[in-house]
Amino acid sequence: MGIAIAVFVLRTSSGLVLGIEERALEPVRIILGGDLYLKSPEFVLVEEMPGSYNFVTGDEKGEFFVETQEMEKRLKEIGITTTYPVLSVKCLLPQQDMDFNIIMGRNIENDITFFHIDQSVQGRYFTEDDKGRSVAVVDASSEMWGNAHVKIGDSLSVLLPEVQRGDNRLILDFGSGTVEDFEIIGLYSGGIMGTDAIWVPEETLRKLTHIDEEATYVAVITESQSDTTEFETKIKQNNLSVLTIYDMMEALSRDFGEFKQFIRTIVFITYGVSALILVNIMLAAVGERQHEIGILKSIGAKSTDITILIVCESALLGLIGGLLGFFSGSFTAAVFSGKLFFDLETIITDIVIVVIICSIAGVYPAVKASRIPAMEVLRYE
Amino acid sequence: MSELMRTENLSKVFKMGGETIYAARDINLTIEKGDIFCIVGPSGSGKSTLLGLLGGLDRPTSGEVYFKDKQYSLLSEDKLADLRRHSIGFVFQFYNLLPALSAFENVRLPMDIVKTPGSIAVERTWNLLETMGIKERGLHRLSQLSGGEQQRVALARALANNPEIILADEPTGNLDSKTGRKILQLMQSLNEANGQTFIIVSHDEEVARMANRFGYMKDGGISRVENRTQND
Repeated sequence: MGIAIAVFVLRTSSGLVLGIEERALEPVRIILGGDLYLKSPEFVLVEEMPGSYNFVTGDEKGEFFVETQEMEKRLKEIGITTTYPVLSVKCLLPQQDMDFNIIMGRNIENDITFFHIDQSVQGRYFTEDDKGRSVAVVDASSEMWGNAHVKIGDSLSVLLPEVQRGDNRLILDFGSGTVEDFEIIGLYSGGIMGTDAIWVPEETLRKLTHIDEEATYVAVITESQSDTTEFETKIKQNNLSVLTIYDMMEALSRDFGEFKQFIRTIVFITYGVSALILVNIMLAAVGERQHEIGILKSIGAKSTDITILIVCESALLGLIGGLLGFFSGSFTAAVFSGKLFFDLETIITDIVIVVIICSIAGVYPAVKASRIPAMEVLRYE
Repeated sequence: MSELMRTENLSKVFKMGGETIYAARDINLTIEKGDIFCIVGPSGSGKSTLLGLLGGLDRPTSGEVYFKDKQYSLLSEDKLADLRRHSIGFVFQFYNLLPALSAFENVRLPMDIVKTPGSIAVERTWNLLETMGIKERGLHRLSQLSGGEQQRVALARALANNPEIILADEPTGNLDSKTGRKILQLMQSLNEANGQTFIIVSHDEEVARMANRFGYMKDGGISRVENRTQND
């Protein structure tokens, strides 16, 4: 039982950590844009490969708002062509008092894909003709819409805030905002910005919010990882600091590492306690089964046979407890993390560790059992 | 008949508190192959202790036991276990079977210990159960068997690896006289058919009548040994 609990703790915690890590690795969770209240240095998004992004901060001198055009110019000078700058502003749906991010997108080759992982499901993205028009592309599956069925051609009323520049930050004032109606021209499913965002043309958003040059981040598409590394180096050499996906993951790993270490400590303590409990259980079992051991000796069982028998029993208990703990822990973690982590290698590793611990825990009781004087236990029965 | 087992000045002493108790005292016995040797004596006279010493389950305080040319004091615990595996079978008053196993599994167990091939072990187990007259009860749990049937299972188990000698400690002590008689008849028929040697500790007069030699035990010592002739 103790072993089952130990493996349960191990599996639950591992499952949760893996779940959190996996979520963190999903690009949609990493996007830092979207909230201008807390605007930290702007980000350049360097896309390395599908689903993996590098972020480049605006200016390592601490200037929070780097002009989009200035940033693009500087990147161009070092041979990096930006694909689209992204600016997001927190807005409200007036009827529902629900906030969301309104994000601008730029036309590229007449039909922008803001992020390639946003799957267009209906309608279209922006074209040159949409410049300055109040049109939007939205996630049809967003919870923002409640029970309403959003379709192409619907009108979306958005409360745009009055945007003012403060000390190193933007201040959004919804009290002085205006309501703008957007025509929905395209629907997408899921994607990097999550479901609480709508996309409008870049020029439209600049015009409506009077934020002319501030971009949340600028995306750069590279063809290979080596390009990304090269760009990263170049960007750094031009007084732009880079925060790559690897830096972020390292920070995440550091935090998770401490958490994991804590969990590991608990698990090892639990293993230790379980092993001690198992030793006691096996000693009690051996005490109760002295007569049986005496019988086995009387029919020719050797001390080594008795030792192996008890160690095998201990290992079997570990196997059963380990499997119980593994499956219950995995399912509990799945309930909380939303994902079931289940692979043969993990099962084998966990079970092998548990069986080894239980086998070791069984050695002392087994040796004691092998030394039981057969004649005495048979005589007193 | 040839000598199978022999003791020389065999003694076993227990210290209880400040008192020294001689469970066996200077016992000199010779058991011939094919003997049915009965040891009789009052309770506490040391009969079971002697059987344990003869079976190598216990070590003597002094003296020696020989099985054929093997001297027990020179044998390790593992070698003594080997002797019990192949050459010595035990039958106890309270059967000493493993209750978690069926009759069949109990009989097969000694064969598994010596790693007898499966098909041979199965066939021999059924044969032994048939010889004991309990083949149809083979797959029953011990709790479903009567005392007599359990003792037959114990006898079958003792015979599993075809030992040269069987040491039986009060084999009929826990049975009614009719059932006890049947067990003794089985032993006698095994002795007559296979030349199986038996050393039986018992109070039972029936056993005494069946035996060809007797040892009278008192206060740990064998006071006299008698041979029984056909005319006795």
